[in-house]
Amino acid sequence: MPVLKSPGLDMHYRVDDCTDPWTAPETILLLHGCAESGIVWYRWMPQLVRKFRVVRPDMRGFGQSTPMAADFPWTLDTIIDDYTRLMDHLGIEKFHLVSAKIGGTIARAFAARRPQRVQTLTLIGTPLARRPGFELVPKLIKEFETHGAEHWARRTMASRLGGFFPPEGVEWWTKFMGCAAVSTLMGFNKHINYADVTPDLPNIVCPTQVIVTNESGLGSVEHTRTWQQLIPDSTLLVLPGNSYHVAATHAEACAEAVMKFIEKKHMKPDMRQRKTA
Amino acid sequence: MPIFRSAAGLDMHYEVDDYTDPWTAPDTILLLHGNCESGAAWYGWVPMLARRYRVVRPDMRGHGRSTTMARDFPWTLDVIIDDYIRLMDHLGVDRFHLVGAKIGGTVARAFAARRTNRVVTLTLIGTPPPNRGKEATERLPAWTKDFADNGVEPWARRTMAGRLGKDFPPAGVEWWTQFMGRTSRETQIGFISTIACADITADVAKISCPTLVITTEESGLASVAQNRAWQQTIPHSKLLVLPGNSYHVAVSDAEKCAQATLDFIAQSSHDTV
Repeated sequence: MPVLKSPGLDMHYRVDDCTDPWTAPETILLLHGCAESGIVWYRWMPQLVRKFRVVRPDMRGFGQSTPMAADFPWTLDTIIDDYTRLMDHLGIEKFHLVSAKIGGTIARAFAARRPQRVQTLTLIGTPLARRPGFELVPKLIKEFETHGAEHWARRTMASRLGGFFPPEGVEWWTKFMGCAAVSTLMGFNKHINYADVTPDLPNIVCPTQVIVTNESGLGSVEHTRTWQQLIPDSTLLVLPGNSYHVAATHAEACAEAVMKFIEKKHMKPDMRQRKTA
Repeated sequence: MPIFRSAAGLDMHYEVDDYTDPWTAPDTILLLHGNCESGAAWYGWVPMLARRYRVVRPDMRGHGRSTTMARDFPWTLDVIIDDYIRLMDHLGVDRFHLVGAKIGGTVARAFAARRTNRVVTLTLIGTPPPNRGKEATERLPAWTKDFADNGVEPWARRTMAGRLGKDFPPAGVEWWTQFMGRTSRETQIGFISTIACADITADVAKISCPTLVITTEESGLASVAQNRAWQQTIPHSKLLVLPGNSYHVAVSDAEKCAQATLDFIAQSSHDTV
């Protein structure tokens, strides 16, 4: 697994590319959520990699990337800069951004603040732009400190993966998320998990697709539509189900929607120009 | 790309592609590429195989990013087989499905015959007959001189049409020419006169695992009848003939071959349960 080194951060990442080697494929950058890593996209790969170069980093603090201290001064810009540096390192100027859960909070800020880099944006099972529940952070931090990350992961997994995920898969996800560094989780929950990205929404100029389930515990379809409609060139896709980690539970359907979305937006560039003009 | 210090004088590069559900214990498929290639040759296969299987695709000794071999390296099939066995031991994989294309199919037939306890199924795609005959060996001096004088690319260019067939895109033909043309001439001179013309007739009779052979109707490596002649000496084997005139059918018809391999492995597993 390759590593990009910068001060205080070894960022691990994977590049999957099974395109015809004589072509110049476009790139998809996949942003995972809290307590995860780039491996969460395993079910997406078969559909994406024959057509796109796919980059899936482990976010600062998570997976095999360097864990962060509890008092690390997290900001969205720090994380966006990490990813931008990685894409610079790989020589990729423009890319399609696809994100899940809190990765979608980062991705909304990313697309708004780096409009020249992001070609299209897909947000899957992501929190509301102004996420409720910040007052519960002290209690969460106490839970991490007292019982560890796995306790929290186990308690919350049912709503994440919904009612139709295989039990052995739920157990794997619990242990996987339970491996996250407690020091990372403490700072990340405080500074990133409830970041308000409402001011970023009108600044997202690229075509955007939002995917949610009709019974997601992160927010109703109506609440999702409220912030989605603040993004000028955006659509909402509602899938049946009660999981909020829809990128994991509905991986194939989401990957197919992303492929179709990118193809559609690229096949009609003139229409896109008209729409955003 | 991971590297395995396999043996004295060999850094073996390899890729592992695994998109299976992480809570499952998938079977492993080992992919053996042909002469002047590397594990990169399997790009069309990986998306189809890796959701269901762990896929291991090494660069053969001397090839790709693995260490190049000197002109006088004492190549034998056993040396190559031992390299792959050591890699699978390193990865903790006891038994696996073996897939070989072109000369990778020559290596794979010897592999399946000589390591029967490791190979669950065998798939051979666009591979030469077990004994390529005098016609091949008589051409060796001229080939060797050509490689020594001109490197590998002119030969790759001259022979690419037969390899990829009439329907491959021109940009792809050019990429394949340069890809194969990058092979070290030292490796190639040693390899072509030993492994590429190895006689594995005695091995073919000893292959006991379920075996699938894939060729094209008009392959320049051998006629369908010639392929059937040796394929039928393998007890649990079948022949799949695809339309076309490419002999590197694992590349020209990657998706079809990958699907046939998946179906074959699934059917073989079903039969042995």
